[in-house]
This record gives sequence, structure tokens and C-alpha cells, in this order.
Amino acid sequence: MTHKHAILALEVGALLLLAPAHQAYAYIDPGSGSYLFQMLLASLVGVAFALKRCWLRIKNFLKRNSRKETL
Amino acid sequence: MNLPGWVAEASSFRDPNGYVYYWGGAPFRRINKEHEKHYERLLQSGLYEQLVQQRWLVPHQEVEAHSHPGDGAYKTIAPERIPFISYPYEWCFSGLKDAAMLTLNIQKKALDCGMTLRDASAYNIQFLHGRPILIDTLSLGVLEKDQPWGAYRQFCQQFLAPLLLMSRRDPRLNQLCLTELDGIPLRLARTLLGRHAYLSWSAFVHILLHSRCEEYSSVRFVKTATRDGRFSERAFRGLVDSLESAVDNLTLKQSVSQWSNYSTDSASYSDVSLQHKIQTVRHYLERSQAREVWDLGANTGTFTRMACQAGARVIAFDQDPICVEANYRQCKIERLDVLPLVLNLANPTPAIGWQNRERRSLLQRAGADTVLALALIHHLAISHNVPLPMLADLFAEMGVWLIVEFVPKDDPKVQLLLQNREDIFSHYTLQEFEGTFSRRFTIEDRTSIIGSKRTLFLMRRRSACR
Repeated sequence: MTHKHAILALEVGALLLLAPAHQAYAYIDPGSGSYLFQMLLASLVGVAFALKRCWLRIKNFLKRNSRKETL
Repeated sequence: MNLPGWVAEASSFRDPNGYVYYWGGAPFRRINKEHEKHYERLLQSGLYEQLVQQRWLVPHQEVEAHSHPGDGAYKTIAPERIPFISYPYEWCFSGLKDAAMLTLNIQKKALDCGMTLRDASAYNIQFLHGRPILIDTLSLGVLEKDQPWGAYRQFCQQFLAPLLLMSRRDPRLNQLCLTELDGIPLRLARTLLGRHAYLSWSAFVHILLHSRCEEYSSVRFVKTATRDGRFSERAFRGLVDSLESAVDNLTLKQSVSQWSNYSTDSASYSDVSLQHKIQTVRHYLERSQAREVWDLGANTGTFTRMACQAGARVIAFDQDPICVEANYRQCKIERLDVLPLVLNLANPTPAIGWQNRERRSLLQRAGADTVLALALIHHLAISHNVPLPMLADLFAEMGVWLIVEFVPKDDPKVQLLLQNREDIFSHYTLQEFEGTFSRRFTIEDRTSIIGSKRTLFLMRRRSACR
């Protein structure tokens, strides 16, 4: 995550937590918010996905070994 | 667009890349030049073949164009016809969940081939032979590098939000999509989920934070993100994986309702009567040679499955979402060509969308060979005060043949309905029923059910009565 991204994430994070409920920008297409949200989510879901794949590989490896032992 | 025999599909006007039309009753999809590179990639990458092989995408054939030449057309394809179009607000929980999982599975396969789903509309999924299938070939486009998923919000509004609400709140809440054509707005979903929006990780991220971000995104933020943002393929796969886990983990908490144990709990029939009823209905189904059956008030689908095993494609309607859910699950296990849908006959699905033409009403989609109305008449005539001539009108509008069961006033179930209310139904008699229905139908056969006061009829619509 670059420096700019970090600032952006902080700004949006603060807004999400602190801003009053009705402060919406009516003329911004809600899809833009979704776009921005995915950008903020990118690192989190990317890392989670990589970790999940690693874990599945380890699990499969262990399973294969235990099967060999029982055979 | 003014050729004779050419009928435009009323819901196909939003996508500039093409549209659907009918020619001689068969569906065709016109592909515009703008979509050429996407369509060619779909074929050349092998994605089309893989999806069709899995029965995830409707197969098509390229055909000669029917529209005027030189009007931006690239190709015309003839997709396999879907016999009955249903809508997400008519599906049960598992139907919507299977459609959501199919959308995500297609997206994963598309990513492997450098493509993506440009739309994640629940209306692009239909049910064919009891399984969900993607019907919008043009929704698959070339993946643009570093760009997030354009259909993420649509997926959350049309699949995740209704599924979460059905799972955590009430199984009828997908019917909110009747008033919210683009799916349940995330903010509304957040409000309705209440504490559940905080208790579940997927609801917290994909609904609560997502909706807040929509509300607070300003021009500055969006511009910065657009200029500097990079959405890697790993992030893309991570997002799809996160949605897949979210959908996969959802279950329907409610499994029993007032009606779901009706056929087993309530002894409307003795064993002998039930066997006689089953035999008679089977015989009537054979006589009507039904290929498409509409089973009204199907409950958990005993007669639905019987009609299906007799070789018909069945659409099974019931107003209780738990019954429809049970029917859907059972038919899925038995791999039957049945589509169980939620429907209140006293207030059937209306036409909605642009000019009230985009999504059709139930009766605009009617056209069954045979309508089954077993143990139903008394609920409509007595509980809903619908006069018998109006019932005959409804059934005549739905199909050609009618297998109907008359439940007389002295039947214990009707007596229950009449308990604590004034009997204002002097016309509700077998004689009046036959007389009224004879105006719309010819009575081909009638059978009194052994050991019961009920009568089964096989009727055929009079030719001028559609």
C-alpha cells in the first residue's frame, strides 16, 4: 500500500466511523463509492485469499501424508 | 426494428452492446460491433465451451441476422429457449443461493480466461431443467487490467443482501426486490439487518461498510482512487472468494411453517382415500398428455413430483416460502425438471419495471398444458371470498386442461375455515361449482374420492375461453 493509499484509507475510515448518517453526496453515483470501497478492501481480501490458499495447500499436504501412513 | 414478425424483448434495452428480440416466437440476441472483442474472446479463450459444457451458460448458435444490415450489428445468435422466465422475488432461499453461487463460479472461471462478468444481475440467471443457468451471453467481457469488479455492488444488492435478510430475518424478504428493481439498496439492507449487520463478518464488510462508503464517497476520494488505484488480480480473486464464503455459509434458519407439515400432520385423507386420489390424478395427467404442468398450491410437492415423473416439466407454486424451499431441495436431490416458486394466488406477481413491461406479471407468462388445483378451491373461495366464476376465469387463463378438486362445505377442513365466521357462501356447492366451471370448461371426467366427500374433475378449456 502506497503512502497515498494509506492517507486515503485513513480519511475514509474516519468518515465511515465519525460522519453523521445523512451526509451523503447525492450526485455521486453510488457505484463510485463501491469502486472506492473495493480499492480500500483490495489489500485485505488479497492477503486473506493468499493465506487461505496457503492453508489449503498445507491441509492437503497433511491429508495426503496421513493417508500414506494409514496405507 | 420495424420488420414484420420481429418483437423486441421489453427488458432488453439497457445494454448498448446488444439486445434480445423474438422472431417467430424464438429468441435471438443481436450483438453490436462494440461487443465484438468481448464476444470473440469468449469463444477463443475456450470459456464459452467450458461454461456450456457445465450447463452454466445457455448454449447458442450463430445465425443470419434478421435486422437491417449496416445498423451496427456484428452478429446474431440464437440461444436455447428458456420455457418459463421466473424472477428472483419468486424464488425460494436455496434457489436464490444457487443462482448466486453460479454467478460467482462463472466469475471465477471467467477470471481464469482473462474475462469478467460485467453484470451480476439476478435476472440474468434462469432455471432450466431444475438448475440455474446464465442466459446473458453478453454479460461476459474482457477483464480490464487493475480495475475492480464493476458488478460488485449489483451482486451485493441482488444476491447477498436478500440472502442475508432471508437467512437472518424472514424468508419472504427477497420480495423487497419487487419494489427495488436494482436489488435491495445496501442502506436499506443495513437498516433491516440491524444487529446482524455487526454480528456477521460478511454482512459487516459487504453491506455495512460498503453502504457507508457509498454514502460518504466524495468526488475527491473517488478521483484519487481512480487515478492511483490498482486492483490486482489477487485482490479480485480475494473479493470473489470472500463473497463465495459469505453466500455459502448462509442457511435458512426457519425450516417449519404452518403449512410445511400439512400433508403429514393433517389427516385430510385416510390411506385408502389418498391412494385413490393419487391414482386418479395420475390417470388424469396421462389423459391430458401434459408437457408443462402448473401445480397451484403445491405445498411440499407430492403431486408436483408425480407430474414430473409422468414426464411433464412442472412449475410448482405455493405461497409459503418454507414449503417452496422444501420442494426445491427435494427436487434438486431427485434432479427433477421442476421449478418451485413462491406465489400468492390471491395477489399474483405483478408486472414491474419500465412502462410496467420490463418484468412480466404471472398471467402474462401463463401457458400451461395442464393446471393442477388440488385441495385449493376452498382456500380461495372461502378464506379469500373469491366467487366461483372468478376462479374458473383464473384457471382458464392459465392453461388448457384443469385437474381440480372440489372440497365441499361439510368437509372437516372447510368446517375449520368456517369456524368463527359467518357462512356467506350459499353458492359454494358441488352443483354450483360444476355449473359455473362448465361455462369455461367441458367436464371430461369426474371421480368421487373413496372414503371422502371430495370430488376430482378433469376439465378442458372451451376453445373460445382463453
